[in-house]
Amino acid sequence: MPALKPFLYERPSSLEQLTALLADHAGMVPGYLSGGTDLLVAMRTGKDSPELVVDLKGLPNLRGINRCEDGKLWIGALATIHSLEVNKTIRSQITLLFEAAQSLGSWQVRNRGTIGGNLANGAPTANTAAPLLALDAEILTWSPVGKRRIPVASFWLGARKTALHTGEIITGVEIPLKQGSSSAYTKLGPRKAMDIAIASAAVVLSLDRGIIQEVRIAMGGAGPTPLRARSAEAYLTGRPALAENLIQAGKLAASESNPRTSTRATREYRLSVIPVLVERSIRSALKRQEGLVEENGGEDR
Amino acid sequence: MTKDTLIGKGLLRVDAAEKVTGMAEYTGDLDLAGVLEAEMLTSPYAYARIRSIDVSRALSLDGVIEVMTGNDIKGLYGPMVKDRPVLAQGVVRFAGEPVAAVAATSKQIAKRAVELIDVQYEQLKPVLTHEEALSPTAPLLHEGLMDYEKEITANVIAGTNICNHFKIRKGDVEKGFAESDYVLEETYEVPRNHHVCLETYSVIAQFEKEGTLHLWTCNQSPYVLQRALAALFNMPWNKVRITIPTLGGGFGSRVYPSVEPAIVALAQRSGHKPVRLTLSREQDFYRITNHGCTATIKTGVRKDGTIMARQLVTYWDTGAYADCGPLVVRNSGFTSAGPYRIENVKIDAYCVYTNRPVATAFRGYGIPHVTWAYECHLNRIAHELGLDPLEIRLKNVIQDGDRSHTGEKMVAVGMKDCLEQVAKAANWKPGTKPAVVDLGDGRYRSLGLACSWKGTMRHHATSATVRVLEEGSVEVNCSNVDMGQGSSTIYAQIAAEELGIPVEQVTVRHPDTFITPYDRTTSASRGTFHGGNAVMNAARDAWQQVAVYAAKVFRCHPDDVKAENGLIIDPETGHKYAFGDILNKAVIGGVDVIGRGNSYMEGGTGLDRETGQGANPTSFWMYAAQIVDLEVDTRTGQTTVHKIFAASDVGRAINETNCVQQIHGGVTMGLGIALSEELTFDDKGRILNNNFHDYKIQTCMDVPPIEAILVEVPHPLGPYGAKGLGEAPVGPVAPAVADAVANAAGIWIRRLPMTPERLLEAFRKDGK
Repeated sequence: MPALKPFLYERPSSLEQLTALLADHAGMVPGYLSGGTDLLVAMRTGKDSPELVVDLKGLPNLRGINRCEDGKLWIGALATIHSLEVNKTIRSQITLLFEAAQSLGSWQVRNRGTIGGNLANGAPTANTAAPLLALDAEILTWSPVGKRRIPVASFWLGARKTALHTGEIITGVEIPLKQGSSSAYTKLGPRKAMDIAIASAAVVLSLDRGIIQEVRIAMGGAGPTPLRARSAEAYLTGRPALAENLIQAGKLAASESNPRTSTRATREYRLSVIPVLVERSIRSALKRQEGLVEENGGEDR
Repeated sequence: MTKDTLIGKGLLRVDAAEKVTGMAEYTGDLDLAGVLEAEMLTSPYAYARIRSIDVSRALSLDGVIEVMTGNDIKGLYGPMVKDRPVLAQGVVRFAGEPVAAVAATSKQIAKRAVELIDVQYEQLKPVLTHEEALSPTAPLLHEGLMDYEKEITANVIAGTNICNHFKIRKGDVEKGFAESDYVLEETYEVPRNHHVCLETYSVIAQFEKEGTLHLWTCNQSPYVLQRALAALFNMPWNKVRITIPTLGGGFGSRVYPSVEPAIVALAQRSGHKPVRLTLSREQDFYRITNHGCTATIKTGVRKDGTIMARQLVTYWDTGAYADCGPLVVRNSGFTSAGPYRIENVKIDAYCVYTNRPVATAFRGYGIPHVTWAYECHLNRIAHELGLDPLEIRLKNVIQDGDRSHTGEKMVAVGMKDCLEQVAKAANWKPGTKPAVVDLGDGRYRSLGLACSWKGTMRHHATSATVRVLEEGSVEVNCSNVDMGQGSSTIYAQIAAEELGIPVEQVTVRHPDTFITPYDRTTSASRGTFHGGNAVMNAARDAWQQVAVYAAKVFRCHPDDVKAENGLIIDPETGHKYAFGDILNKAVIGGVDVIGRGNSYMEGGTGLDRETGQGANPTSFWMYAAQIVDLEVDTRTGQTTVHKIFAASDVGRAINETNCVQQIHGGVTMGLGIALSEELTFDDKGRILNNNFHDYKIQTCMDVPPIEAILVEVPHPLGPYGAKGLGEAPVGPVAPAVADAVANAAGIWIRRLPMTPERLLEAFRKDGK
């Protein structure tokens, strides 16, 4: 373990102070601290050594979960993962985000970790990433040059690379709430807690008289960024919710994946389980619709 | 003494409150004035020559007190083979080997100083597996092997990298195979894994003014350490003081010296200031690991399942230095034919040096490794013969009066009882194969069975004293370390039982070689048997003395004096008196009483070097049988364990709750070995997953309900019939899991751990 590199620590209490702080330390790349569950680990192991650590927890208006007038749900960047799993709207209407939050890390990590941090960290397997991608959410940001709304689909640029500019912070996330849609998140890891997904699948869909109307499928661990399974979505749209169609959707999702081999799992293993996760997520989401999936007795193995 | 016996009661642990409230003081918590912080520079290479070391930049850093290299400290240490330098001597033999040590005024400065030390290495091609190490072209990792000082256990082979070859020869295996209806030969593998003590290693050394070396360390065996350090630093034993604060786990990883010699050397050169080294979790993974093992097992059976012959060849990757590897190989080799009556047995176990981190004892001294091999193998044989796993075991298991494969006449054997009771709990009827439940979507559920045995082999001496203070409070002094297994509670219970006092009146002292008497090691599940006997004898001795005083006061025979709930009863009148009243009346000015007790095995034979035969090699045996109820997902390879039924023969439970907890802990460890734990290495011999992110122990979310079944077959020599327990529950878990997977999905796994990825690959190969 290398010696911890010296760093400056600042805790601004307004965006004006943050602006001034960034101007004063122009040339330094700030390491933003919210829950610290990623940053502090990276600093301890030497993987990251920011000269300037900026604690965002003093900034106003970055906390809470509120319904907006336009029918969207706003989640502040500093909202803890635990606050997502106990939020009534999320529990009842955004089931996949609830499932993603409650399967993240441990109690301690969920109490510290924030949704903003989970996204800004840029991991393709981050628990909240695939659900927000399937939800067509928007990420709200601030920087001294202005505010932005970034559709999640264009937020991840590559492995651990996001659309955030140096100095830019996430202020919140906006999720459209749609009546009649159901969702599910399935995560596969070697353990039931304290684990990062080997792969995951997030599904949002609506159904009308047994026919899939609208479906969005997002996958974690299927490539360098969270990915939408667009050909699987196109295939399912307008088709009946039959087991054979779900199996086909899983296959298509795998064909759209390009996972890597890492210490956690091989590319081959990820490719084997992605179709199963996608299929099972769709099935769970369908079960949450009024009509259950019609089993056609197909071979399940 | 009392009718209402304390023996068997599930009393609360004596250290429970201080642990859950955070008051317990671990080595790293000690606050010594002026303590210097140490850090080690370790080798990045698995095998290299050291060309040069330049410490000048480190020494000139403000706050650095001392920088040492192998040039500053000579001498070799090691419990079985003295093969290990304190700091590397011109060559490094594993990635992570200490090359230099720094003492500084802060940890941060010590770490920076380490980064300023310049070492020039000449890399050599490392030997990373036992196969490479045994190749005729392999370099000899220890050219001085034959010249090293060694224990009798280490049967080294000249001109090789083998630091122990353990053998058992009984009957004629070839004849046995010829007389068999079915012969199966298979190879099983266990990778290296790690003990994962909650407390990372911590040690403080100080040379005190009167010439005493005082060491505070989280070691399991203070007296082993005392003698090793005395030898290395040329000091009399009575000048080496080892104090053991509260220990946060041991599991075999802390039986022998590891980083202590280097810290003592630093302290020697840092005046009278204490020097502390506390390892990070990442460093702790490199300090010591479990052995990797490859076992080739061949068994011949009759059609009815009778085992005719068994042959095992095991190779143990012990790493760069022997540590207790030769002992692990002997103790596991000794039991590796399994708890069965077998007339023809041939065992060859090889302890092999490699350029990997040092491997040591791990809860069971290699028993989990060999149990994985012999139990999976037996389940496979049962399957091939159309027998059920329970039936084949009941037919072959060793029982009272049988001769073991080393010639020991077996007594108090609870193996069959364990099997019968665990089968009853899980509703598994002999002669019926466990049912498979198809849960849909590629998921299947079934049961699996395995059992194991272990001979403690550590029948050395343990002493204890019990001091009865005049007021009636009692102090137990024993150097067997409570690492979390609960020995201090057991000792308090035994002392209270013998003296007729409430258990709350007993304090069990932390081990300290200046205070608490000799104990060989806290290892091999020997604490309750040997420590318990020593404390029981000491308490009886103390009571005899108290009774003599009381008899003087009561004018009666000492045998007639009894105590109950902390009060001494006058046999004549039935009046009750406080201990203090009696001791004060008996001796003017009062008196304390000190009772002494010892435990050691008489008539131990050891094992013959050529044949492994010995009629009395161990003071007791442990037996365990388990049934795992699990579900396997053939589409992802994931397993969900629903329940584990775990029976262990404890002789007699001194503390029922402690016994159940020991089983829970052992099964949890076994489940990690079965499903998720494996140290992975790169091709340079470096550990890839030395953190909790990537090294997967089971969390409380993963561990299923465990039904602990205490089988009580009293041991004639154990205290109240009790014997050891801690190690035995680890071994059966993995083969029982594998058996359940085989029963549920028809695949046979031979390598641990059974990760989802490995299982899925096996399903694919099997056409699932």
